[in-house]
Amino acid sequence: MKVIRVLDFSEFPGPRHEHIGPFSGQRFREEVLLPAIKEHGINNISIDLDGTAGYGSSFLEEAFGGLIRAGVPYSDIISLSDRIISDEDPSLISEVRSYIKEEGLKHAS
Amino acid sequence: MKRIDSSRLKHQLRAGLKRHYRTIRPKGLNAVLARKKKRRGKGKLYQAPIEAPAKLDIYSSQNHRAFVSFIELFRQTAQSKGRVFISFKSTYRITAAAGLLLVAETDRIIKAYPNISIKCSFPPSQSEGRYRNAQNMVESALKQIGFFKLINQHSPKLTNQATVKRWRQLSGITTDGSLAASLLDSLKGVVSKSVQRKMYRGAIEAIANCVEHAYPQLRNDGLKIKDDRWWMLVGIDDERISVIVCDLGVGIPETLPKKHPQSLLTSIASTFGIIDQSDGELIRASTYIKRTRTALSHRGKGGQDFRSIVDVFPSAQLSIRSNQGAFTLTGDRFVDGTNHKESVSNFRDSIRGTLIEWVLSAEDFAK
Repeated sequence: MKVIRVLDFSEFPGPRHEHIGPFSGQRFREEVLLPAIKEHGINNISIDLDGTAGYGSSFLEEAFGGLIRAGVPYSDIISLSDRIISDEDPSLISEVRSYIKEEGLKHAS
Repeated sequence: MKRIDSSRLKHQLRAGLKRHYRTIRPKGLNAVLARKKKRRGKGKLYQAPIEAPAKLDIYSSQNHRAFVSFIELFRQTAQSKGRVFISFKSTYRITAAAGLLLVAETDRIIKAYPNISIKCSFPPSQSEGRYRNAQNMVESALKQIGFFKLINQHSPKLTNQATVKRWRQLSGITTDGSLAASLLDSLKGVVSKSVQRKMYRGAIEAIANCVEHAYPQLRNDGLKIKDDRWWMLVGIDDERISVIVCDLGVGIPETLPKKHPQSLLTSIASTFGIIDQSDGELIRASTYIKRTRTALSHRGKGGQDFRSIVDVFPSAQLSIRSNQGAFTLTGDRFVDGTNHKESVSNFRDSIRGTLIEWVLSAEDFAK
């Protein structure tokens, strides 16, 4: 299982889009998540959210909800959310799930 | 008779002349003013000082009016004269929000007029009586948040007042989390890591909001410059923490109707009892945008949900001030001066920007 640590991307996760500020959710998705999914397969990765300064909700939505917009199947992403590690703030896991579900509903309708 | 010392003759003659002129020069107030003007130098016009208000504060209606008028005069003087002298001699109180706004406005004026001269004066540090400024907190606070550095004026004042010694301020253009985190680092040892992460969350969303939405066009203040910065202040004492993010943009009441469809705003207005289109009510409406969008299954994109701060920290108070309006939300207690947990107010004058402030009480420091 490949563990992707957000801390290796940045200690200071930024805003939604890169043009607003550095280390955005968009960049994390495009430069870290999607290449890892391509290389290892989505069922063989887990995400570790611990160790950073914190997360804005926009970062999380763009990184994970954005996977649906990037064409990754909903069922794969929702199963990925079961492999999110967030010991420091467990509420982040349900928050990420809610973004995935909202975007999934939008795409289903 | 005293003998003339030839080596000191020149000095003695000059001293004698001075004594003579003092006996024959005009007396009275006008003559004194004329001499003062002459001493200031040829070609330099006398610049009357701008009197800062007694309280640098935007919370009460009266103080808000005085502060905004002072800032407007400051800006107009900078535009028309090219040099400004501010007198803080009557100022004995400063709040973090007004301090940050003053720094931001000064920063902007200096960006518009890089060669401007801005100086200021203070009452004696141990003054009594009418100045009521024995602790001289204003000078300490302004030093702490970088006002003197900004105007390039030396201040020997030590920032040892408990209420201001841990104020920190900085500004930026992009949503750079490392900047926000560097300020929040001053909370280390006072609050838990968990609280620090939640403060980071609020700060990064507020800053992103400034960067993305605050500056769709030039600010209508006559300076005609593009200045898309945000300013942030973290203040901490034994009893509470304040985190303030501000911008000098067009304001929420201006951007809200342009950013969101009328149907959404109408829905919010009828659901949450938004009674009019005043700035205060529009700010209140803006705090319902995210949860209303989510409930309507529109794009629930997880944008800033400032309301959630009081869910996380029941002791917290959130204030959003934009243009002429203000909205305050509390967790487990009433907004000062009301028996409600939400309060909307409107002021006569506009702060020409937006200021978001969280105040957290000691009881939530360890959550």
